[in-house]
Amino acid sequence: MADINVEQTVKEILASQLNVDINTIKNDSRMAEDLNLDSFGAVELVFALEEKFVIKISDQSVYTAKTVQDIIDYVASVVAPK
Amino acid sequence: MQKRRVVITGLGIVACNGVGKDEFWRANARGLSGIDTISHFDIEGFDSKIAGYVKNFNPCDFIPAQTVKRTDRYVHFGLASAKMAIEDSRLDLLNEDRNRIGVIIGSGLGGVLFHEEQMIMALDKGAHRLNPLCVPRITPNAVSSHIGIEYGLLGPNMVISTACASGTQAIGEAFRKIQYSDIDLCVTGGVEAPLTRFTFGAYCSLRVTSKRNDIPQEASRPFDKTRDGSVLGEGGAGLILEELNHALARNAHIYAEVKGYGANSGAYHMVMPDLEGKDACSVMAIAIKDAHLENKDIHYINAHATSTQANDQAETRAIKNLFGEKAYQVPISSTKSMIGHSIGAAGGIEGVVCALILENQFIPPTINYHEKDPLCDLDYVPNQGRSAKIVNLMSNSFGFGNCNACLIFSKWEG
Repeated sequence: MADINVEQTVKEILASQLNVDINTIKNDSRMAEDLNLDSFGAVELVFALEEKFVIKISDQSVYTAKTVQDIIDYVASVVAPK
Repeated sequence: MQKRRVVITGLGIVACNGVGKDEFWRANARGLSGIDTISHFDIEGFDSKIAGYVKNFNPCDFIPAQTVKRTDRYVHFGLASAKMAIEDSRLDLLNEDRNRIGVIIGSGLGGVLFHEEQMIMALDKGAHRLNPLCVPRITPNAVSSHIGIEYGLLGPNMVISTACASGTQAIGEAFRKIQYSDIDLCVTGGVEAPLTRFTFGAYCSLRVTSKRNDIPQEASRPFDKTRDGSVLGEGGAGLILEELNHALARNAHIYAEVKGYGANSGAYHMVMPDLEGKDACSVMAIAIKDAHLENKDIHYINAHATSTQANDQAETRAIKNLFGEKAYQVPISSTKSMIGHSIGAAGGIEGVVCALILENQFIPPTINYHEKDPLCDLDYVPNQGRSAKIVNLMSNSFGFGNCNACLIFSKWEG
C-alpha cells in the first residue's frame, strides 16, 4: 500500500462521494460543518476507504474524526503502523 | 360523518412517450408509442427484446445530485414526478400545515435495479462488501420517504404494493384519507423501474410478454385478436389530491374531482384473472356506488388492458356483465397500448391521463388495434383519438394476485 498517496486518495474519495471539486477539500475542512457529510456519508466513506486501502476501520475512528486531516492521519496510521 | 370532497390540483409525469404533462398529453392524444428495442442491457437469450424505456430523462434535472447518487431509478421517477406535481399545484408548502400533507405512492417492486447490481457484485466480491446503503435504497417505501424528506411532509407516509394495481390503489387510499379528514393534501401516484435484466427476465419467464420484437411500437395491442402479451414499461406519476375547500380557498387550478374508489380481490390465482371477470365487474360496481353514480353516468373507461389474451378478455367480459347492452356505447381505451405496462406506475400514469381527458374532453386512442376479437367487441377507440363530452370516467387496475382497484373521476364544473 506504500505506493498510494493517502492524502490524495482520501481527498479523491471524498470529492467523488460529495460530488465536489477536489480542490475544495482542504486538510482543515471540517467533515460535518464544511463538507456537509451526514451519517450516510460517513458510512459510505468508511466503506470506500476500507475498499481502497484494504483495511478494517473501527466504527468509532471515522465518526469521531473532525477534519479531513484526522481521516488522513487515521488511515495513514492503519496503512503503515509504526 | 360527512365525507369531504377531493380534487386533483397538480400533475407530474415521467413516461416513455413524454416527460411532463404537456409533452405526455400531446403524445397520448396523437397515439404515439414510446416502445422500442431494449439497448440499455444485454437482451441476448430473452424471448422479448422490447420495452417502454424512458430515454429522455436526466434525474439531475429534478433532484439534487447527491440524492440521485444515493437512490434507485424508481425513486428518481418518484421524486421527479412529485416535484412536477407540487410545482404544478402552486402550493406554497412553507405556509401549509405539513402535518396535514401525506405521501402515498404505489410501487409493485421497489428498488430492484440496485438490488440486482448489488447481488451481482456480491457474487463476485462477497456479501460482506454490499453497499452500506443497500437497505435504504432497496426498500419499497424509499420512494415515499424520500418525497416526504425532500418537502418536509409530516402526514402519513406509505407505499402501497399491490402489483399492477398499486398506483390506482395509492390514489384511492389518498382519496379516502382526505375524505375522512385524516389529511387535507396528499402527494400520490405510482412508480416503477422494472427494466433490469433480472426483473425483465422474470416477466419473460412468466410468459406474459410480447414477442413482436421486429415491430416494437406495434407490439402492445390491447383487445386486438392477435395480441400476444404485455410490453413491460417504466415511469412515474405524481398527483396532488386536495380537499375541495382547501383548493378553492387558495384559488387552485382543479383538473378533476375524485368521486369514487373501489378495491377488492378475486382470491383466485396469483397470475390469472378469473375469465368470467366476476371480481373485476364487482370492483367497478363498488366504485360507481361509492361515487353515488349509476352505470349510465360513466362516459369513458380507461381500461387495465394489458394486451394479454386473458386480461383483455376478462376485462371485456366484466364490463359487459356490469353495463349490459349499454357496454357497447361506452368508449374504452388503453394507455398501455402506447407506453406498455409499467406495473406499479401504471395506475398512477392512467390517473394522470384521466385527469387530462376530463380537462381536455378528448379521449386518446387504443393504438395498434386492427383485428377484431369476437370475445372483445366493444368500442375501444381504435387508433384515432376523439373529442367527447365526458362528465364521469372510470380507471381500472387489476394486479397480479387478483388485487383489483377502480377509481371514478369527474369533470370539475367550477
